[in-house]
Amino acid sequence: MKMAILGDQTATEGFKALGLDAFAVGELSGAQEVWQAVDPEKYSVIFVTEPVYRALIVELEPLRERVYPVVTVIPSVLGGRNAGRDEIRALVEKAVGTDIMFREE
Amino acid sequence: MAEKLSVNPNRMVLLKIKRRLSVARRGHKLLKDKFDELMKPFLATIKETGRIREEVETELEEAYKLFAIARVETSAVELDAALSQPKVSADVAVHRRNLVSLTVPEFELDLEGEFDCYGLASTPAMLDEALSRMREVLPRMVLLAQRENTIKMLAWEIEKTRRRVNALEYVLIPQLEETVRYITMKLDEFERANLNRLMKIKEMVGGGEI
Repeated sequence: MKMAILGDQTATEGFKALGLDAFAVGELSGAQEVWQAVDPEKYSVIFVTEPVYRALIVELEPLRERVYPVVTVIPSVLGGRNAGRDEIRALVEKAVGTDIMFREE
Repeated sequence: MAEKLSVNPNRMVLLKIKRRLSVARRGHKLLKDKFDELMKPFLATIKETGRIREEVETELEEAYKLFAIARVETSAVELDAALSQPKVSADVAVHRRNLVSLTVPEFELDLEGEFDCYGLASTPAMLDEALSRMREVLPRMVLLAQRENTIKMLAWEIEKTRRRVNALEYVLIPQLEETVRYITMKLDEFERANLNRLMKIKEMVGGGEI
């Protein structure tokens, strides 16, 4: 199965050269349109940069319930390291009842 | 105190409820064991995944920086042309692994071919560097996706199991216990009433001698 990447040009172009299907999102407001072109059935993993992930949070919701494709948040060129963590933290909290993942030791 | 179930207080029902209670206790024990067993890989995975995410993010940001420099050093058209025909194929083989009672997917990345599918003369050296960094980080990104997915599936299963354990522990088992107590008390009460009745009859019939 293939992998896909959604994000800004800098993030997608590089990975395109590495054989991923790249979907560049120019303006965040156009993210939905780009997403329309993606066929989630084709991919096992879809990497999404954080700003695009935030813009597509509603569209990506149904995928969370499924095993494939796995949507993984990565930082964009401008940074942004919170969405991926928050998601896992929410899951951990739901399962365990407390935030144990990023607690300082 | 838990509500008792609405049942007829007789021996037949008592027997049935007692049987249900023992099944519920057994189920509770099993589910509790499953819960503990799920927690183990869950806790181990989240620690490690946090670390992997940290590394991937740092490496990616560095690669982005190099790539951004490469973009500045060359024209958009040239860069686009250089990267438009990738020679690398990145395929992911999906295996299934059994984890406690779950089937979690495991990804195996298969990168084939070299990425330098462009003319070296028209592209900056920084591009090679950026792409080789990205290539290095890609397997770890796939690993991260797999681990986070495992966490996601484990979290759902843990939540489901916890709900079941709690439902048994705090609802069903107390209810059944209460019902057993109720029926036992009722039966005892009947017994006493009966005894009382017999004694009364005996008294009425004739001074204790039959």
